[in-house]
This record gives sequence, C-alpha cells and structure tokens, in this order.
Amino acid sequence: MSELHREPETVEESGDSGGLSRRGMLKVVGATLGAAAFAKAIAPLTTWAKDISVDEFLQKHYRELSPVDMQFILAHFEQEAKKTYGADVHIRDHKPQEGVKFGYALNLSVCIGCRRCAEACHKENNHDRPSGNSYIRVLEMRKGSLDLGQGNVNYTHPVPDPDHFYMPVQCHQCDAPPCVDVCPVEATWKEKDGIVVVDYSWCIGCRYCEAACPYHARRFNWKKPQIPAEEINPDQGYLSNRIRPQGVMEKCTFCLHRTRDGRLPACLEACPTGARVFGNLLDPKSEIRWVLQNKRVFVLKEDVGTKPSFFYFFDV
Amino acid sequence: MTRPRSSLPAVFAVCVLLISVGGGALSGTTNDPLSPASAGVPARAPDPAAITITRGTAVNVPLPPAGQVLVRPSRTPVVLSSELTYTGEPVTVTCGTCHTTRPANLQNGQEGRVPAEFHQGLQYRHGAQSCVSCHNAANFDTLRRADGRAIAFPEAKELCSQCHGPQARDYAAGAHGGMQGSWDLSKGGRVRNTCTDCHDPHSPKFVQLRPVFAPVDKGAREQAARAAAHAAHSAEHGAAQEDKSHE
Ligand code: HEC
Ligand code: HEC
Ligand code: HEC
Ligand code: HEC
Repeated sequence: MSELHREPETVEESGDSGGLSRRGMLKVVGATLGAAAFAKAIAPLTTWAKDISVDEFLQKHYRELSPVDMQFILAHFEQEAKKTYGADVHIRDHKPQEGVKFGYALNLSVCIGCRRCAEACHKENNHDRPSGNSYIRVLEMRKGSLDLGQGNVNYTHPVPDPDHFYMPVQCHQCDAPPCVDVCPVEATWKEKDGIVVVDYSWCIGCRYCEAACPYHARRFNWKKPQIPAEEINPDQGYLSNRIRPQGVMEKCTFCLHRTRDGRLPACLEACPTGARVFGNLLDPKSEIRWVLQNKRVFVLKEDVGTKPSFFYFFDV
Repeated sequence: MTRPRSSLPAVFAVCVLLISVGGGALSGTTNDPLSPASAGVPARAPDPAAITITRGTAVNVPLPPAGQVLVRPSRTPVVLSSELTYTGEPVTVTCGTCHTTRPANLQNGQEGRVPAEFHQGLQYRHGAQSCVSCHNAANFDTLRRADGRAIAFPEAKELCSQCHGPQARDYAAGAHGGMQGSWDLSKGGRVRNTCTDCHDPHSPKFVQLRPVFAPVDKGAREQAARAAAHAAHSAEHGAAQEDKSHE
C-alpha cells in the first residue's frame, strides 16, 4: 500500500507531518497549539474561538487533529456559518462505522431522468444556489449506447422519452481512486467505509483530482457559495456538507453525514421511481448485496481500473 | 358527520356525484385516517404540479422506530357526492352503496371496456382483464385474490404481487419501489412505498414527469444575465418616462 492509502489511525499515531506540510506549515506551531488547546478544554467552546485563531489549528491535517482540536474547529465553523450566512448550523465529525463499506446501485430500467436526485443533492449538500451545483449529473442517452460522451444533460422535455434512457452519474467511491493518487497535498483520501473524502481546509484547489476523475464527479468552488440562511441545511459534516470555502474541491460523499448515522442518502430518498439501492457491501443480507447477486450489474469505464463502488443494472 | 343515507338515492338520481377517479381530492378528506394531518414521511410525488397525471393517492405515515419497516398502506377509495356535511366536507359513499344493489358486469374491463354509466373518466390500460379480476364482485369494498378470497384495499400490494412475480420479488428485496428512512435498521426505521403509490392500478405505466433542476450552464447563465440587464434597463427607461409624464 502506498503512503496515500494509509489508514487514518496510522497517520494519527505517527504524528509525523513531514509529508503533510502545506502552506509552509511549521511542525512546532502544531505541537504548541495542541497543548494550548488542551489547557483551554475546561473553558466553553465559544470562548476559545474568540482567543485562538483557527488558522493555527488548520495548519494540521485532518488525520492529525486530536478530538479536542476538532471540537475547537467545529465550534469555529459553526460560528462562521452564523456570522457569514446568518444560519444556526450543527457540524459534526462523522466517523466510519466498523464493518461497513458502502455500495450504491442504480436501476437504469426504472430511472426516468426527472433529476429529483440532483436537486435533492443540491439542497442537502449546501451547494451554491446561483450556479445550480450538484454532485449528480443526469445523462440522457440513446437506447442501445453506453457512450457517456454522447450523453445530454440539458434536456427539458417530459421524461422518460421513449427513445432514451437516463443515467445519473455521481462519485463512484472507487477502490483505486485516481483522484486520490494525484493530490499533491493529501487533501483527499479514501476512508475505511469506502468514501473518498476531501478536507476542504487542506485542499489547495489545484484541480488535479478534477482532471483525474474519469467520471467528472468532482466540482470546484469558483466562488464563495451563496445560499439564503433559511435554505441552509443545518445538519452538517466536517467532511461532507459543511459550507465549503471558495477555491477548494468538493465531491459526493454518499451523504456521509446521513449514511454514517444509518440513514439513506438524500438522492435515494428523493427518487420518485425507486431506481436507487444503497447499503453495506459487507453485510450479505443487505439490499445492495442482493442486487449484486441477482442482477447483472456493471460499472462505468471498467477498463480504466478504478474499481467503483457504484453499480448500474437493467431489469431483464 | 354524514347525512342520513336516505337522502342519497335522490343525489344519484340527479347525477350530481363527483367521481374520484384520478383526483387528488380524496387524500384531503377526513375519511382517510392516515392522511395529511399525520406528520412523518411525506407521500410520494412531492410536487404534483410537475406530474402529467396526478393521483394523489399516497398516504403520509410516521417513520417507525428502529428495526421496523412500515409498508405504506394503499388508500381505500370512496365516492364523493356533491352534498356537503355541516362542516363543509363532501359526503362520501362507499363502493358497496351501489354495488350491493346491482350484479357485477363481467364485460367491463375486457378489451379495455370501461363502464359507460358511471365512473366516467377512468383510464383503463392494464391488459385485457375484467374489472372484477381485481375488484371483488362479492363485496366491492374489497379487492379479490385469484383464489377468490378478499383483500382489503390498504393491502392492494398483495393483489399486484400475484401477477407481477419479478417486481414483487425485487420489491421484497428492497430493489424495486424505493424507501425512506434508514439503510441500517439497527439505527432507525424505514418506510416503503406501496405499488399503487407509483402505479395507477388502472393505467399502471409510470407517469411522465417534467424534469426539475435544469443545469445552469455558462451560456444560459450569461444569457439570463443579459436578459435581466435588458429588463432592468427597459424598466428604468419606462420609469424615467413615467416620471416625466408626472411632471
Ligand atoms: C353511485 C353508484 C356507484 C358507486 C358509489 C360506485 N359505483 Fe362502481 N359502478 C356503478 C355503475 C353504474 C357501474 C357500471 C355498471 C355497468 O356498466 O354495467 C359501475 C361499475 C363498476 C365496476 C366495473 C364492474 C361492474 O360491475 O360493472 C367496478 C370495478 C366498480 N364500479 C368499482 C367501484 C368502486 C371500487 C367503487 C368505490 C370507490 C364504486 N364502484 C362505487 C355505480 C357505482
Ligand atoms: C389490477 C387490478 C385492478 C383492475 C383490473 C381494476 N381495478 Fe379498479 N381499483 C384497483 C385498486 C387497487 C383500487 C384502489 C384505489 C387506488 O389504489 O387508487 C381501485 C379503485 C377503483 C375505483 C375507485 C377509484 C378511485 O380512484 O377512487 C374505481 C371506480 C374502480 N377501481 C373501477 C374499476 C373499473 C371500472 C375497472 C375495469 C375497467 C377496474 N377498476 C379494474 C384495482 C383494479
Ligand atoms: C390478474 C393479473 C394482474 C394483476 C392482479 C395486476 N396486474 Fe399489472 N399487468 C398484468 C398484465 C397481464 C399486464 C400486461 C399488460 C399489457 O401488456 O398491456 C400488466 C402490466 C402492468 C404494468 C406495466 C404497464 C405498462 O404499460 O408498462 C405495471 C406497471 C403493472 N402491471 C402494475 C400492476 C400493479 C401496481 C398492480 C396492483 C394494483 C397490478 N399490476 C395488478 C396483470 C396483472
Ligand atoms: C417508487 C415507485 C414504485 C413503486 C413503489 C413500485 N414501482 Fe413498479 N415500477 C416503477 C417504475 C418507475 C418502473 C419503470 C417504468 C415503467 O415501466 O412503468 C416500474 C416498473 C414496474 C413493472 C414493469 C413494467 C414494464 O414495463 O415491464 C411492473 C410490473 C411493476 N413495476 C410492478 C410493481 C409492483 C407489483 C409494485 C409493488 C410490489 C411496484 N411496482 C412498486 C416504480 C415503482
């Protein structure tokens, strides 16, 4: 396993940030701050945020942050959301569940291309409103062809059109993710439950990962996201739907702020056709395993060797 | 709160019954005990305006506790009359009200034939079966299993499953029909849609929808900005002229 695929714990234990330096980070700053933060642990979170600059904490990689550091950072981001967006949000650091690896399957015989999944993603994940961003793109494809290049995303006629089928595409949470391999600062990695995450506070916005993804599943925040306070989803995760800063990459996390709590992803619940099946690949009794065993599933661009956790199938 | 039955025949005679076929009206009546008032998992089709045919038949249910899967019951149809109760609700009559007094017409349904006298507007495109292969000729307030036993309307799924084995199997496995709630039942409950939430029993092909959330592409965004600028300009212009005329 390459350094890029290290499990989170190994990184925490090593405490060696040599390979993780970014923006000219100084190791000594991180060390001092750990102690300072600990001393402050008895004070309420709100008072910390006033006297310690969060930038100093963010000099540490996600996987090196102690729980105390994380509490501080979460409180800071909550205050920031209040200040900049006027919204009361609750941000948590959701951890992968033991014995769980997520898988997703989509029935192309049933999907009608209504784009309600893309819309649900937009709302759930606090995407920028004016640009209509979403982690899901729905391709209208000619029946009989699987050439993604021919897919049209701009259709507005009633669906389904009898000559077409519809293929929603989002992050495939690959087991061999090229996006992770190309990141120069390790701001993106694959977690134990299979989710490829981005630390928005660590990302430098070089967009190599965007170019490396064969499914065009990554998005770049060109501008500071604009969302009216009343539309902000307050149920947020550090690695998922917290409001991203300008200039960083973002991507689908299978709604880890929901799914790591046992809930279904927003796009699945929004689907009016029941085309989506989600669950734990490690549980032989799960719905997703049933699909893998009983339907002829396929993955997109199998030849590029990405080993997706996202499957498609047709009813036969 | 309904009026005495005795007034009904007069109502029928003047033919002022509103039929409920295809209407969303029913889900709003107090007759549907599970319907809108009960909070929880909302019914399918959250924005009915976008749907070419609106049935509005799905029933809101609460999300059950962890470990439980609740299959949304299908609705029990009634017929609305134009008479109102004292509270302003339409008087409703059950199917049996008329059908206990008349023998079932076995011809209806075959070759797509629909009743001419009543239930106008019913779109029937579901094979060549007779209406009473699903409706129970012995008791129109129920449905009919292939072996002749009755099925209550809320369990219409059992009816569909008899003839649609592959979908019934997929549904049972969680791979047809969708769900809301939790994938991990040890952490939360789950609600399953029922067949008739998505398929009209009389025209079961899934309806066409108008797609929502059209992507905002750069060209369109620029065009919209230009149009907005133009509109603002002409509005300004118009306002300026108006100002002048006031002077
Ligand atoms: C106002 C009286 C009336 C009520 C109430 C009524 N029906 Fe009917 N129904 C009729 C008439 C009249 C026909 C046409 C019979 C024919 O064509 O010979 C009919 C026909 C039918 C048929 C076709 C089979 C047959 O026997 O003709 C079905 C099925 C049916 N009705 C179901 C229902 C259901 C379900 C309800 C309750 C939602 C209901 N009806 C309520 C009057 C009624
Ligand atoms: C495939 C089974 C099936 C067949 C065939 C069928 N029905 Fe129904 N019908 C149902 C079910 C199930 C309902 C319950 C209402 C619902 O879920 O919308 C129903 C409801 C009705 C209602 C009440 C309508 C409403 O929406 O309130 C009428 C009237 C009716 N059927 C008439 C007919 C007639 C007439 C025919 C033949 C032309 C027929 N049905 C054939 C299954 C069937
Ligand atoms: C008595 C057997 C029978 C029952 C009961 C029955 N169906 Fe069907 N269904 C059929 C047949 C036969 C066809 C094929 C019709 C055709 O090819 O036109 C069909 C077709 C369908 C289709 C495909 C329609 C299309 O045009 O693509 C759907 C969806 C469907 N049924 C759903 C249901 C649902 C939901 C119920 C329960 C309310 C139900 N069926 C009950 C026999 C049945
Ligand atoms: C969440 C909505 C939903 C629910 C619930 C649902 N279906 Fe479907 N079903 C669909 C869609 C969408 C299709 C594919 C589009 C179509 O052909 O109508 C489909 C397809 C079908 C077909 C095949 C149609 C064909 O053309 O071959 C049958 C039969 C069917 N469903 C029966 C059922 C039965 C039986 C149930 C209940 C056990 C059920 N469905 C529940 C949405 C649903």
